[in-house]
Amino acid sequence: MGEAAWRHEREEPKMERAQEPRLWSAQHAQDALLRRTELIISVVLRGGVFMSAGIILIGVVGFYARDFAGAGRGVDPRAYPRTLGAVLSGVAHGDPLAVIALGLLVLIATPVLRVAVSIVTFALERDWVYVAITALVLCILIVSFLLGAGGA
Amino acid sequence: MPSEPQLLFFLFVLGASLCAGLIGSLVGLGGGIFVVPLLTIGFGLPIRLAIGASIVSVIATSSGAAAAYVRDRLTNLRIGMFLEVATTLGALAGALLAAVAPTGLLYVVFGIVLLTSVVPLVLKLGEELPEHVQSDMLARRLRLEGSYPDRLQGTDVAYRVTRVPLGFALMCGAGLLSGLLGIGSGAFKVLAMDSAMKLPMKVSTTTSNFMIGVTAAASAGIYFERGDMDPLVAAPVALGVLAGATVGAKLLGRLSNVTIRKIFVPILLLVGIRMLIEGMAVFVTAHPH
Repeated sequence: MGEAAWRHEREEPKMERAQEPRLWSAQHAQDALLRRTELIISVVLRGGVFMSAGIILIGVVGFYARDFAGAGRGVDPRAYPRTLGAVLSGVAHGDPLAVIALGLLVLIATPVLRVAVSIVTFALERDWVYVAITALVLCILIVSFLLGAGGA
Repeated sequence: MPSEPQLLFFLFVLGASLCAGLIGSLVGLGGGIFVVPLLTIGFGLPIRLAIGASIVSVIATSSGAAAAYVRDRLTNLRIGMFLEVATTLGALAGALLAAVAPTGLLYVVFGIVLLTSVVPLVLKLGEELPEHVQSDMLARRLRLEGSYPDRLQGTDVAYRVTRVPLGFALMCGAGLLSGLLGIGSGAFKVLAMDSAMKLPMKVSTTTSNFMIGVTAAASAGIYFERGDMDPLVAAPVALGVLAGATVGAKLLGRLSNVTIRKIFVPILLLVGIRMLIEGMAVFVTAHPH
């Protein structure tokens, strides 16, 4: 409903810009760079989401398949790994709960990866103010991660 | 544990999380307000497992919807990145102060702040776009102004950004809140951008959506190591919320700013009331009579 009309109207400002290249060029170049950053960040988020959802789904199917086959009898559903090492060795042994936990770790890592990638894309734009801002965010994240691991 | 009840639990939580992800992705919240009561009151799970699952819900809502919102230019990346400095700093301070902070009092104070902020929101309930906004110096210097494609108006809508220092301070508060109490920070983020910085409602909710994942990820590692993220609880939450957030991200473009605000107001009331109740509960357990 109105999809075509919307597309049509959205294209108009672009045409206006093309007619006045001098007036728009600086702004336009900046927009194009921001657009690229947006697309890269979107791809990172989408990749992380698909990967984690896929891994979690494999773990869930594995868990219930084992459960229904009766092979899981006697396995404690509360015995799940809590560190990266335990998760990886659990996955290597084919433990479905460890597979789900791996998917959760990928999900948790996705926003952090997004911040790290943004530093690179802003650097490619030579947007040093935002390189500094994003790097500061990553530092705070790392500090809170380290403090959390040490305390609590 | 017998299989069938557990599978039923899985399917029920999956369905409920789908709804939480859908609504959360529209209004910029993480869905903890729905997930926690569902798991504790509905299924009698311990609160720590429910909070672990709600952290998963926040990250899933954020990443699931933000992929689309960033691509569709609804999220203001610069505003999100800049304000993340405030939220992560606030969250770090909150985590450090958690042991000594008067939790009950904080719940009550923040609850009252949220509930009183409903009044100005209701007064501008019919406002589609903010008018007569003048960008402040910081907004111009950091190039925070932007535009977003509005499908209903069929054109790009340019917007200005004001009172950036106030927005930054409120974001510190939002971060503090999530570090200290673990809830309600999405509602605060939307309020800071909508009411203080005068962004269009959709830009506020999608930029909040973009930011909440980072704030939650900062503390997620601790919850994971503590064993608060039970895979069999967190899995249906993650899958349901991711699906719901994907649908929500497709839906948002078709809704007006007025509609989004109408969905946001009752949820804000819910979050505020819940914080008051939590605060009272802390007082009651601290001073039993």
